[in-house]
Amino acid sequence: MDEKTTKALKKKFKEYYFKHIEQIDTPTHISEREFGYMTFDSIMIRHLSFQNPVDLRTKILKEVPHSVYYSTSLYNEPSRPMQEKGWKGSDLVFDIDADTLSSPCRKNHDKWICRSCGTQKIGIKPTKCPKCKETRIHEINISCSICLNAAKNEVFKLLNILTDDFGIQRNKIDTFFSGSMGYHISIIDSTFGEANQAIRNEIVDYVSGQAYIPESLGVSRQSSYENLIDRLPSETEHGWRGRIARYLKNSQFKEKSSDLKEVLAELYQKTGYRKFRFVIESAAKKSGATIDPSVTTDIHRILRLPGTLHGKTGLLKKRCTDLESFSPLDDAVALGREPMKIFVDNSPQFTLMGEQFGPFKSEHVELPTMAAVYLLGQDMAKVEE
Amino acid sequence: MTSVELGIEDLAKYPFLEEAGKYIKARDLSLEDIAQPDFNMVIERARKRVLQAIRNREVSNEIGTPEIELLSFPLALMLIKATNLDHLISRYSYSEAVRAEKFLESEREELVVQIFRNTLKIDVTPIETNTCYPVFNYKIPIMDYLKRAISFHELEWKLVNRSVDQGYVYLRSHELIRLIRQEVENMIRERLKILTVSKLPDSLKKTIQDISIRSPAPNLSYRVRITPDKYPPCVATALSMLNKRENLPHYGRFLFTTYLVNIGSSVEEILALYSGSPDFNERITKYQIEHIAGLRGGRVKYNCPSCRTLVTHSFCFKTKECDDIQNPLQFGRKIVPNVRKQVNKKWTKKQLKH
Repeated sequence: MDEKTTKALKKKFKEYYFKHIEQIDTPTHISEREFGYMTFDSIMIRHLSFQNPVDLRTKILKEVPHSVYYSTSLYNEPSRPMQEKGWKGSDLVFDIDADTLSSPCRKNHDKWICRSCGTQKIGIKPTKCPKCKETRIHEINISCSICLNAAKNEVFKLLNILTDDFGIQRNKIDTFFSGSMGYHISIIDSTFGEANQAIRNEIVDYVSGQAYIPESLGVSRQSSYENLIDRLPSETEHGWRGRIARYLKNSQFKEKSSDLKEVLAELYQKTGYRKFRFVIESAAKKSGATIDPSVTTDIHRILRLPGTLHGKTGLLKKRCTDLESFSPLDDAVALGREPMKIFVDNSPQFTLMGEQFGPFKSEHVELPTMAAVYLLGQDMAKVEE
Repeated sequence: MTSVELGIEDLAKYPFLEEAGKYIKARDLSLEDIAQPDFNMVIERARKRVLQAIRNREVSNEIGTPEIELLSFPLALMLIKATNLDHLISRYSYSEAVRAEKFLESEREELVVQIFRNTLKIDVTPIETNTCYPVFNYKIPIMDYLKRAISFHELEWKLVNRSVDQGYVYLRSHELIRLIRQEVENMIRERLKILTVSKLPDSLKKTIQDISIRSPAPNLSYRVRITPDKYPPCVATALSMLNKRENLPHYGRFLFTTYLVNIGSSVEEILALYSGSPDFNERITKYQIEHIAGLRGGRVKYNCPSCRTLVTHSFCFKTKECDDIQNPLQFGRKIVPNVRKQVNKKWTKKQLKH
């Protein structure tokens, strides 16, 4: 990113924070958290601590960062180096990203650039550059309402598991649009705060339906038909048994009129244990939530601070008070419509506030700030003279 | 639930409980007292407890005379401690935990609940048993379950394979009891670690010598240089991706580096393997390898992630050669027993000489 573009982006962010600094959504236990930020020169500053929201807001106004982060963990001394902080516990957090969901729309709005020969195209990143065969390829993901809706569906799946199985009250779960590709789900002050990395791994596997075995449905290599009818789950059961039964009933065996237990017992007898296991594993993965495991399991993670701007999109990380009606490409747009002259270097089409922009080739355009920043932040454009 | 009064038989079954300690303290017996002929049966049972642990990894769950059974427990701890053989501590703690587990499996419900709540601080709730499958007897909070179940590597213990509802995990009696074996073991181990043995009466010295001679050899650490053809499938996949100049995902990089660091590869050797990867930056990669190797930052050498963690991060490529290992570093362990046997043989001979 050139200096002029950096300067222009910083100016826009400064104007925003100057007017809306009170909207920064500070987490509880602020004095026990580590804070960090990235400057527009890509320098990461970490291990900061603040006693109260006012000090934090003052720092943001002074520095005008590209991105602001807070630790999901609480520490005795948050500003010390990592080994000396004294870990006290971590929020239970989940990250759901649209770019991991392989939505078919990605081919329309993802972009890649070969770092070796400079070839760039709209579409899904290839493993090798078709021109120079090099593998050094940079990928730019843009989100659209289709893939963001797919991400929202995953959030709903996760919320159901957290409330029904983990018994966490809905009002104790905070859901945020991340400001870019998906959602952050955060649970503060729960019994899971003290969970170490190994326990969080288990939680990840639970919510994503990883490593589910047919034995949990009462099926073994030696099961007889009668045995299966006794042991297979019904759709009304709680936990994973019921979830898998409901998934199979509503998807794979929708057409079958007979009882699900009978359908499954017949399937087992027809296909044998191995194939049955495959069906069950796949049902578990599909009815689980697709999350980024590393965010949940990393107890030293810093996450984007709610109410701050995402440096790559200019969108807000925003709390979703009503997830059902939340529309990220409208509700998280923070920057205004003041026109900006920019030079775009190939961009796919994108939509903000219901207005479509692009696709652009290499061309000079004048766009409202919200759209110009969206391209500038992702390095698909630069500010004009 | 009202508190259950523990009788001498209960204390004999669970001698690690605080109540058992209080009972013994109230008897005000010294080591010299126990060394007297009157207590021969206690000494004999203590000796048997230890030898059973050494031979069978299990202490028998017979209760002849409850008082003898109870008093022999602290004496057995002293005998173990007096041998000065640290590895016996683990074996004995484990064996006593297995013994307690056997008793607990057929224990009355109210006592199970009391032991779990008071001693292990686990909020167990008995539930009305279902008549149809699946049958459960107890429920415990998810965190109480996870804290213990993470040390089991069988898939059936994973939370995803458990019946979970509204913050509770539902368990059958034997599952609930199995869950706390490690904890009872830890309680006994901790007690052994802090136990100090002052001068022992001569009559006990022979017993201690007897135990020392019959003790197994400790597992000695050894190092075998592992060549790439012996890498576990996950590490081999990572290496092959790097060789093909494919972009290795973050967790693959972490696994690859920690594995190589832990088998003794040098920073330069590892760096060379990364040099073909897309976006290779020598300075940054070197820094990261050095960090993982404990040469920078917090100076902590990172462990290789467990197989379970790799499954979570979708970087497990298990084959039948993996043979239920829990960590990639254990891959190919089948060649190890021979090495260990040789080491043990030497150790035992040496030990007998002295």
